[in-house]
Amino acid sequence: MRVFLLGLGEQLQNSLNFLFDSTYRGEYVFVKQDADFSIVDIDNYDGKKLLRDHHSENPSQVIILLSVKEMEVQSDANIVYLRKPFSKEQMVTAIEQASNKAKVLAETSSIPPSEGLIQQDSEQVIQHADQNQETAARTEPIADVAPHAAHPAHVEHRPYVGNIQKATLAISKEDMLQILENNDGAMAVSADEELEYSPQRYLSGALLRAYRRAAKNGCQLRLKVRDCAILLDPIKKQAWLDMDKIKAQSLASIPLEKGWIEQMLLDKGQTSEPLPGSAISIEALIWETALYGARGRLPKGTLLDCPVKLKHWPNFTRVLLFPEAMRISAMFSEHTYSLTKTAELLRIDVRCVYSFYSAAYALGLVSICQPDKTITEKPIREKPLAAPRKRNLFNGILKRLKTSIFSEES
Amino acid sequence: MKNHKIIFTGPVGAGKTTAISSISDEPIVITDEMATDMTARKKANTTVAMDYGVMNLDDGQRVHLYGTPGQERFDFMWDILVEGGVGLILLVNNSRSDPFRDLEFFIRSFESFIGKTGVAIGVTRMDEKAQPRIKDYQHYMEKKGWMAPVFEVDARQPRDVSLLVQSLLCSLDPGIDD
Repeated sequence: MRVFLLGLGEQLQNSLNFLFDSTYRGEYVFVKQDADFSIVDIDNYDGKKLLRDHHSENPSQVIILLSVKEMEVQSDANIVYLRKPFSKEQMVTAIEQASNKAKVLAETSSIPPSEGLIQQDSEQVIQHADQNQETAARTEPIADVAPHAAHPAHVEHRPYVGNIQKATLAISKEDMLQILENNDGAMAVSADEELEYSPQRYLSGALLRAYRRAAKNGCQLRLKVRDCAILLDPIKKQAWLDMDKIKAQSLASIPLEKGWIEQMLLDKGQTSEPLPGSAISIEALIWETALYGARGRLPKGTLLDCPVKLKHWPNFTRVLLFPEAMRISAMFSEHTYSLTKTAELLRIDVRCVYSFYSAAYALGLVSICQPDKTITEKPIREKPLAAPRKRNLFNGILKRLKTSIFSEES
Repeated sequence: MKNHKIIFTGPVGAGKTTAISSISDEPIVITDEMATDMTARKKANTTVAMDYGVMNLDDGQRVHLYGTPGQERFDFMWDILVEGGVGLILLVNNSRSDPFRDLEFFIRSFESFIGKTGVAIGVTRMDEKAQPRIKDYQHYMEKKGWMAPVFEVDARQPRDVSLLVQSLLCSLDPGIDD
């Protein structure tokens, strides 16, 4: 069979070359005209125009249409739609479908087709391409066909596989305020814990202790907090919770009473029965429970006016992101200001800074320099904050990025 | 209309193309493989694959997203490419045999640019190979005396790429609005 390629980038062309060579061994050839079917990528520059021009010259030709954008194609159209990213198997299926359609077309080509039907077909494809290019949000990227595993030239072009554990997303400013104001239904804090709290009395502290015990023994550990079960796996660094999010947040927000926690360390090699729900990384769980436990407060004994040093940025794509967290990270990592000074310079609610500190403290990401010790570690790069003239640009980029995220998350 | 740029770099297979596509407002272009009607604009010496995308801001400004060629033999282009750039996004492919070597290579290659601006590091393909972990990268950076955001990134996910770029901007100017 003869195949025409249109609008494909070099990487994809090479991948298809290899796929055809290794899978079909000469049954298919690439041609520049008189093809049985075409493979068209409409995501590249002016792909829509290419498709339209191609269709006007080859109105009845079968097309394998490639795009990252979602499209609806009628089953009787001469189009096989393949959404990127796709696997080798998916492309092979598409080729077979296109080949079959092309054979049927060739067999029926002696019967003059209705001009209206052909015209409708072309218009349909272009209309779908138009609609999708106008309205589609960014989705998956351009990807390569999964190559034959043995071919060294393509070893870097393997498509991504497997499920990526999605991070708990983000807290809005309104939700954050509710947490800080203690207005989200959690129990009121006692008078002696209004400004500071003892992390070890809260779920985050219990989880840390349990996790360390599990890690030390190299075994899974089942935790029971009141009537809710939590499973910790120190090898996979994951946890499972047998409770809904609201319950977890509530439990994380209150000091735990004596007798509320039971631990059971499993034997080495023993695996617990799975708990319902998805796994969450231990890091994300401790970060989030510490945030809810802190509620805008600081761990007892924290020095308010001493410089804070962030050892590492939190992995914000995989832990809960809350308002101002990135800016606070930047301040603590690039400069060494105290907690109160940071809030002052960023002009934000100091409780946000405290919340960040408490969550980072739980993960061991921060250190505070005591008054009698000098800061021995210099910031990596002594440089001033960006000139104000770039701030508008950065704000514009930030707004553009966040608009996309919120439309994606809504 | 003002134009600005953010540079994406990293070894082959790190996901530069994918990451740019995730946040670009227009379909990504591989500049050495333009559609046929662009051949007139092709320069005779354009032989290198370079990815390009763009973000259109509300005020009409455009932020160009450039992906450097990943192969080290094209590193002569990097200095030209980064000139005037806002900052660097470095993607590291965790499934490669020595990602720390890659990390060090790219940080040293762009050291001057990073010193004037900043860098944010995304570790990709952790679903294919979980080790080294993000903590390992953090410790490596700490030993080297480098400080930059290091995130696990799925380059196909706009949110991950967006957060990485946001961290770059925040590290350049924590005073921006959140």
